[in-house]
Amino acid sequence: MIRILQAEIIKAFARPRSYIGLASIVALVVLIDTSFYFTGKEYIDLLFQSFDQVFSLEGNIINGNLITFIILQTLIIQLPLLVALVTGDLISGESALGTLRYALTKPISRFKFITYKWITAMLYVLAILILLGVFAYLLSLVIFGLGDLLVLNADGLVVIRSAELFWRFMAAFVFAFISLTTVASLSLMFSAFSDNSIGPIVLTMVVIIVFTVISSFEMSFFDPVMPLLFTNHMHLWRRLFSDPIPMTEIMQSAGVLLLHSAVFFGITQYHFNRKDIFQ
Amino acid sequence: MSNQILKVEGLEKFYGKFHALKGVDMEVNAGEIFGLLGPNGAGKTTMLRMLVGLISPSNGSVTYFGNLQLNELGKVLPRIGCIIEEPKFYPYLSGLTNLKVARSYFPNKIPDQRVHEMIELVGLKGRENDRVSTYSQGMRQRLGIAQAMLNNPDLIFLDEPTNGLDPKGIIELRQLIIRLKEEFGKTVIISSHILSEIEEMADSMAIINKGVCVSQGSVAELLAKNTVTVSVETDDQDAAQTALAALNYTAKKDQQTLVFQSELDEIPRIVEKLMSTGRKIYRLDHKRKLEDYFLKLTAA
Repeated sequence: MIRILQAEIIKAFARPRSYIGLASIVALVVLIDTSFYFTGKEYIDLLFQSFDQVFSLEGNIINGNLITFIILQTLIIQLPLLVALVTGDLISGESALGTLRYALTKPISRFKFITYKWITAMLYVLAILILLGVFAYLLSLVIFGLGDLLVLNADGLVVIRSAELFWRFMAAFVFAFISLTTVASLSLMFSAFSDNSIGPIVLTMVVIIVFTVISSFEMSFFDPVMPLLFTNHMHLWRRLFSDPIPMTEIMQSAGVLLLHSAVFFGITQYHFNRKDIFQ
Repeated sequence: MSNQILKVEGLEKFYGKFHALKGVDMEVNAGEIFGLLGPNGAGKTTMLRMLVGLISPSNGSVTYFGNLQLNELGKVLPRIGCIIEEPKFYPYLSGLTNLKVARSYFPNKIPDQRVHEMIELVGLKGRENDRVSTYSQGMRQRLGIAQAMLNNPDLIFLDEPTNGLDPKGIIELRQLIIRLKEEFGKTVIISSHILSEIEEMADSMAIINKGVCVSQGSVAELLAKNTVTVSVETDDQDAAQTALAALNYTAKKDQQTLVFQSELDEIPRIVEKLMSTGRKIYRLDHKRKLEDYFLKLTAA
């Protein structure tokens, strides 16, 4: 098992495109940290302008926790694209390259083959999130130091004590992992249906965009499908920074996302096990 | 005891309404080079893809190694090596890493030593650490054979192995394939539309045309049934031509040689007739022409 996984990781991570996502995360984190270092105060003043008449804010508002939260909030929207860029290519890329037929003439069952591809996709998601988490959190803490986090929610302004933030960030990353697992499973499913590299990546993005657009229409016509759109559940990580945390709602959303992943994985297996390999 | 390593019975494949393979029967004996001959689009690659489990047959059965069926590919594939169409690799990885990726799919660990032996066998030593993207077509073909041989298979499928190679590459690859049989005792099934390739390498062959197996047997037997091309060099071409005409042969002059078609069994009678003219005969030889036989079988 380890040998196959090693081979899959070598294949996936030896491609330059695998590093586009990782490199862009590093670049964006550095860019955001730098911009906050020089012009962060202006931005925060603008953000909390409406509260000036109600109360005054004292202490270290621009701190590592706030910057990490902002980075997370900003980049989490781009991550599905970065994930799909690699995971959407895992099967179809092999098909386009012609290497799929070689792998499948070796004594590995198609079920195992897809399972290893799926595990590789998860490892890539994990790599992206660890890089984002570790890099964004550590760099921001080093530059801006610790402090309480001010979060503007629909309910208002929430202040979360510094001591409580580490586990909340960890939980947010776990939730982001579950969300991106769904995206990775979706693109892997499209990848199993396709023989070219671009199709699954584009399709994944189209699905995410369409679902997000539908979600933004607050019309009763879409009400029946709203709970089924996985994109509606992906932003629930933000609720981990509420007070109190709506754990039931978060767990339900995590469950819906995991269910989507399982369905996408099942469809991938079903289709791929019956697929004639021509490429 | 049967020496059969592969038995194909009634193999059929439909692509929608298109009947790509129409009930092919085929038998391959262990330790031989078996040629699968047919024009482009005859169904050779479809057949090979089915035999290695890439596509599923619509009907029919395949027995490998005397007792294993198509639904037991888990037991069959560890004993098979193949190149289906042109060999494909990860161009951004080295030849060595590509082979290590290929070996990871085998349940039993293939040692590094075996990988290096195969690199040496196919003549890629010294280039194994270079990226495959820098390899020539011939080197990729040889790397393909190395990956097909990694697991020391009993049965090797090579689909159009000399496609895209230069003449030197073709000769080297043919020698390598013959070595696989003679030195390593492998059974090799080669599909090709190049008649001379099969004629020079194969012990047995099947001719497939439009999804039907139109002929099968040992190459020698199939050629023995065949018309041969006879070349005669004498000191008097006109006299020899007249003598051959008496036997109803129309010989054409080709510089110093007379060339005509005949049945193999007729050659002694021809020699006798030519000798009876009293002229000097410097040379008489014949060539079995697979091409004629192939064209006859695959015509229209």
